[in-house]
Amino acid sequence: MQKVKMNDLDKLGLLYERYKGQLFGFFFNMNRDKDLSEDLVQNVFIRVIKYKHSFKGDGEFKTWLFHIARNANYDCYKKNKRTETVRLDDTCQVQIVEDNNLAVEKENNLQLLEKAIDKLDYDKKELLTMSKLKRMKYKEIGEVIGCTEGSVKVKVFRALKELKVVYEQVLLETN
Amino acid sequence: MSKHDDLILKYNSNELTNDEQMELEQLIEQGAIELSELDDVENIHKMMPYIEIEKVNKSMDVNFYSMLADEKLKSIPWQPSQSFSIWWSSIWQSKFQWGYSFVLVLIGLGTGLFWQPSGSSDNEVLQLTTEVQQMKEMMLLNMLDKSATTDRLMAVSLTSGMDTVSNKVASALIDVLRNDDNTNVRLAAINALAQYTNNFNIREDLIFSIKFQDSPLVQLALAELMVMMKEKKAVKEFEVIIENENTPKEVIRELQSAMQTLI
Repeated sequence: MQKVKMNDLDKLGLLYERYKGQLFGFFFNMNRDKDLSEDLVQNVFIRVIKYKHSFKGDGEFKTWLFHIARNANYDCYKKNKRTETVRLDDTCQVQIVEDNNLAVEKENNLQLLEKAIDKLDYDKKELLTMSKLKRMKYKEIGEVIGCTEGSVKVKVFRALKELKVVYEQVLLETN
Repeated sequence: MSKHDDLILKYNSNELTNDEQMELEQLIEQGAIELSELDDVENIHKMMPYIEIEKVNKSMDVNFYSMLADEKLKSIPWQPSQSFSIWWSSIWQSKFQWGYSFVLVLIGLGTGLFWQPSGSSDNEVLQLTTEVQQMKEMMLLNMLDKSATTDRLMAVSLTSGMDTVSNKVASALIDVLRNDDNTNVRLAAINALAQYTNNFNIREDLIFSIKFQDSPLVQLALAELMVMMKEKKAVKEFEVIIENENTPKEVIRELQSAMQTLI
């Protein structure tokens, strides 16, 4: 990143290759929209170029990158809030398959879990996305969202507890 | 049984009081209790990593590298000559009256120098443009080999904005025009090659490609291009198509009209 900061933009390609998957996963889990997620990844790297001077180099590049990713996603969320709500309601139709096959049941459970995650508050959804789906360490998340590792654990605990309740509600609605 | 174990047990059997709940959270914060020890949390946690994530599309890479290429061009700083700045400040600091007059005379000259881009900056732009072009060509050749039609269409579209193409890329595009299974990709190749018809070899290859075409759409697109190129050598190739009994009447009519324009 220091080289990118010195205007060696070729090195940004390396950073892109290293982090594009994680960023795409983060955006995709937050939005469930492939095209939008690709646009947001692009948006993150445009912001990296624009704000490269603000990277002080005293922390992890990944943390700084996810700061930018969070902001990009939140801006997009605010912009599309109304449309997004409609879209999620439309896309979260869960098919009930009367099949005892375990694989199908697992697939259905995952669909229900996705639906439950989408029902969580934005902050909790973001936290779980970072901690569980992208497997970021609690310490890294703490640096991104600005709190201690211990606080992150408690927040994750509360989010998971709420997810469990919402998941059970979704299960009841489906059955 | 430790106090922690007791709390965990109570949590797992859903028997915690509010105070105990707070105590549990404090212990989690301190790292004394791990989330994996709490059954329901752990169960839901285990399910999460299995949520599928769609694969990243190639178009994301193409967009990123195009953006990067643009940014690289924009990032070349244009600066006035440093020696001019030093010279200017030395004159400005001079206490001699005549110096100010001299400065006024030279402002015009200085402004001229200031706005004239330096040779090294030109070279830098040229070098970067070449690098970007090479990068695009490499990506184009790579994507032309892909089985997905969208990838091949995207590859052909990468030529837009390229003033010239290497022989390798030109041959690849001609090869697409002659052999690609998909009509849309062949049409896209014609559009791409149409930008380089001032190249003699590409013109000849385009004419030679006419005989490979069995799609009326491609035949007509090539006829249109030949008219635009005013290429009389194409007439013989179109005559063969017109004489072919499988050629639709509408196509024959259009080709005849194109031939008349050429002759």
